[in-house]
Amino acid sequence: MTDTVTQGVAQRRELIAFRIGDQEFCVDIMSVREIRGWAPATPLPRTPSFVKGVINLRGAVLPIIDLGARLGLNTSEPTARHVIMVVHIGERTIGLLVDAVSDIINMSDDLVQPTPDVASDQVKTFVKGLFALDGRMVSLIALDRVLPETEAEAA
Amino acid sequence: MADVSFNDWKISRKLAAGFALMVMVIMATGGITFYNLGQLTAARGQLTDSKLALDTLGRAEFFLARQENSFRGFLISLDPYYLERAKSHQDNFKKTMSEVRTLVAGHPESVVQIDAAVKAADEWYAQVVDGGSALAMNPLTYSDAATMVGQSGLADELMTKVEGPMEAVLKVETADVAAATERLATINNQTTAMIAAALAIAAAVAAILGWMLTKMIATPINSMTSAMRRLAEGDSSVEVPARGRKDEVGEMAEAVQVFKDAAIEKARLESQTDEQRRQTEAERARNEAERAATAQEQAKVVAGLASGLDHLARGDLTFRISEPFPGDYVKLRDDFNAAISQLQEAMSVVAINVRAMRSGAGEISQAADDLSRRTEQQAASLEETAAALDEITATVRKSAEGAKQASAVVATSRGDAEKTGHVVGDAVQAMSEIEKSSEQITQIIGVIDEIAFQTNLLALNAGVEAARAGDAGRGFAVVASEVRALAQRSADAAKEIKSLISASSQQVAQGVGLVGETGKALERIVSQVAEIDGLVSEIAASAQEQATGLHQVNTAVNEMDRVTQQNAAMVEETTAASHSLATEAESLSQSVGRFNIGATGEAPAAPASRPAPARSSRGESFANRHVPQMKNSSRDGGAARRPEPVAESEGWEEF
Repeated sequence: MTDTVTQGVAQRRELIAFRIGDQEFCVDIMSVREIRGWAPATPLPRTPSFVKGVINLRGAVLPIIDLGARLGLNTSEPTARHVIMVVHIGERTIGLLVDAVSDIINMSDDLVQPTPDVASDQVKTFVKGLFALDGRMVSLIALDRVLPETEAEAA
Repeated sequence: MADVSFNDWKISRKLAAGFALMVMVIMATGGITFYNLGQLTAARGQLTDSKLALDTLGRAEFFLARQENSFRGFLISLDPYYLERAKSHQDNFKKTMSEVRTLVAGHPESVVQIDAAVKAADEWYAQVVDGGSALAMNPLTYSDAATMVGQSGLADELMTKVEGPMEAVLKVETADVAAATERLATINNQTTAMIAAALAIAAAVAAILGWMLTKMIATPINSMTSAMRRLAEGDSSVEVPARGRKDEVGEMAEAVQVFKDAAIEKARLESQTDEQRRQTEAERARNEAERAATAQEQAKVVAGLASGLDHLARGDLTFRISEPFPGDYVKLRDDFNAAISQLQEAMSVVAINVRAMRSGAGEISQAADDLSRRTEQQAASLEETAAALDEITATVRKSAEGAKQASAVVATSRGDAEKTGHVVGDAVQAMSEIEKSSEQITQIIGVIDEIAFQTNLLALNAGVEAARAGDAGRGFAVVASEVRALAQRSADAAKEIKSLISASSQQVAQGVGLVGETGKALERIVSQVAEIDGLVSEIAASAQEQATGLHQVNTAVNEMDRVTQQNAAMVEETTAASHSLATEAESLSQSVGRFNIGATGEAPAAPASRPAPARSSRGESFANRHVPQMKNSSRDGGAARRPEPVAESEGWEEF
């Protein structure tokens, strides 16, 4: 994934923009497998607080991660209007719980601005860059950081 | 003494005593007769008993003879039948003898005789019948039996023993019969003699009583009648008989004595009257002479009085009779002079009074004129008042009608307000319906929103697939983007509708609240309108009452108007009367002025200014009495205020 970001300067790419609380984030559309409405998840014992549980996706077990909680934002109890984005991270497929999917954005990589230095290191680990788009500020999420290192390594 | 006391009895008592004596005599006679009748009855009873004893004894002898007879029949025929007969005859004999024994029980010796006879008869029967029959049945001894009943036989001897005692009894009873007959005759004679004696005594007593009553009642009454007749004929010297008696005749005699005394008194009075009449005749003759002497004196007196009366007739009240009158008539002259003086004084007073009356009549006249004028003014004012009242009445009536109309309008308003209340209720209902519809719309919109959401997701997925397809999915991505845009618009529209609907629901709720308040306000309006209705009704009623009251006031004012008109007419009459009174007072003053009443009467126009010294006090008193009266009258009513100064000035002029 990092390879794709650092490749051609003027490469155009499509992003899926979504919203958690008042903030807007986006991910590369190629990593998204499916977008579906919220269905209640089955909780798993001894999991971190941001893991909501697992759901049955056409016979496969899909873990659900509350992205807001993972990013350290205030979250609320999910409703029918919440959305699960099924994404590939490495070889794993997981569901990310977000408030809403707002847009599919076409843009080129040169519009990505780096994350400012004022932010802490942890922020920099999750946000790869920022788009200033039509008065909005959209953060590009680094999906490979969403899962903890141990799991990622395990994966 | 007995005679006097008997005479003192009342006549009724005397008659009752006489008849009582007669009744006693008759009762004594009857008693003796009853006693003798009892004696006769007893003697006849004894006689009957003795005769019955004799008869029974005869029957016993008959049965004895039949025994003998039957036995002789047996001897002849030797038929036992005769023995039976003899036996039955013996029984009958015994029965009869026992009856005789009972009847002669009063004579013990006769009872002994009877017992002896029965015993002898039994012996005869035993020896003769029983013994004889036994002998006769035997033909050998038949001759003994025949001998036994033959001459100087045993039978006769025995029979004699029977017949002896029976003869003795017969003798005793015969003697009894004779004695009873004798006694009966004796009692009969005695009774006859006693009744005759009693009748004689009764006749004698009746005759004596008749003679005594005649002597004690009829004789005095006859003599009284003759005395009364003589008294009636005028003979008062007659002596009234039987005055000492104390019965009715005595009372009658006392009454006649009163008549007699009255007659004597009357005769004495008549003689006295005759004496008096003669004395009167003598006195009258004496008076005739005296009267002739006084006639001359009277002629002189009459002439003097005539001249005095002549002056009086001409109105000269100053004249006095001065010539001397005879002794008896001096008082007449003085009285005449005094009377003229009194008349003069009285006329002076009358003249003063007439003057005062004339001025008073003038004042009354003026006052009446004023009163008349003011009464006319009052009448005019009253008429105006009546007209004004009529106008007010009409106005009040109009007000009443207006109030009634207002009441009707208010009632209509009330009805309308009530209807509006219903309309408000309907509106609230409709609004709640709208709320329901809004809820349904909200649900539908939820569905639409859901569909939009799902469509959006589908479009996103389609976009993701198109992106994966690379350049081949480029067109598909455009379509997906369009679909997403549509879904987004649908969601936006649904959101908008949702907000609109929620706003509409809020407004509807607000509207419901407002309409509810409107309903409450309308209810208040209804109640207030009802109050207004009541008030307007009261106003109408008061207006009606006012109209009624005003009508009464109007009637009263009309009545006052009528009365005032009558008063005006009466005041006019009073004015005329007061004018005529003034005229009359003037003429009265002139009439009084004709009298010559000396110094005070010469100037009738102002006599009070110069009152005679002797009468000054009286004149002043009159004047004083007048002026205050005028002042009083002037003070009493405003109508007479104008004459006041005139009266006062006159009064002060007089003084």
